[in-house]
Amino acid sequence: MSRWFTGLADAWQYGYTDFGEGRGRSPQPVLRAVVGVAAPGAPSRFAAIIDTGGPITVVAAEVLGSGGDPVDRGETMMLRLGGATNEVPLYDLTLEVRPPADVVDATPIRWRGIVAVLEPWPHHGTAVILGQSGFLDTFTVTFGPDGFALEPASVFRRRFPPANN
Amino acid sequence: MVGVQTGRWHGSPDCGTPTKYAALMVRTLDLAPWAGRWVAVDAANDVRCDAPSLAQLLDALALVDVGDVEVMRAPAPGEPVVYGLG
Repeated sequence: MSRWFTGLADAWQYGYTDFGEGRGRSPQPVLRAVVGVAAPGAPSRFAAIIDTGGPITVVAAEVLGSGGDPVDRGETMMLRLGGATNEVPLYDLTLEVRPPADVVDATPIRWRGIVAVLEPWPHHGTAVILGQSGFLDTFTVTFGPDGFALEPASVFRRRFPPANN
Repeated sequence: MVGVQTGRWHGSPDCGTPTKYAALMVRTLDLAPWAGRWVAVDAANDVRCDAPSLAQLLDALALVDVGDVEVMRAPAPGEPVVYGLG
């Protein structure tokens, strides 16, 4: 279970990212929901794709070396990713998401959660895929036609209270 | 009476105009010259540093201050589009 470290006064709104991967191969651009994610205080951040169908956050092995106090949980899981199946180790890792470029004076939001570590990394475009465990249990993510927004996980139940049965 | 959905939005004013993709807010990157390489991209979408592997790029970024950058891999032509976990 991830832990939410700081508050978020307003929803952070992001535009989608076109890495160019669909050019000449797809009738429309392939748009990704990408946020900047880093180990706390690290100078550079990783482009991280939000994958709502992913059961867990997956990172390249090199991400662990950038900080975030990685702790090996001594557990593994079978991960099917990009058509390949791998047994991958699980770590506890602290990450922070950076605000959109047009949001000034905002503090990155830090959380600690479980990530799967995949090596070698097979993907284009990113070294981090943000899945259900380790990201979507920490944030409410709203996808719109021309952008997406991040809010704390608690926002969802305030907006959509459980129905009385 | 229930209309048949054919993959397009129909008539109701509430539906508005469908947006096929996000023309206004898309961050479009032109990484073709770096295809297959790992790159560090700044806020202006300019590549500030590149390397053949993620480890090498991170090593380079540790030695040279290029400011606030985002690390990603430039798509290589001919490689399949990857749709993530599955």
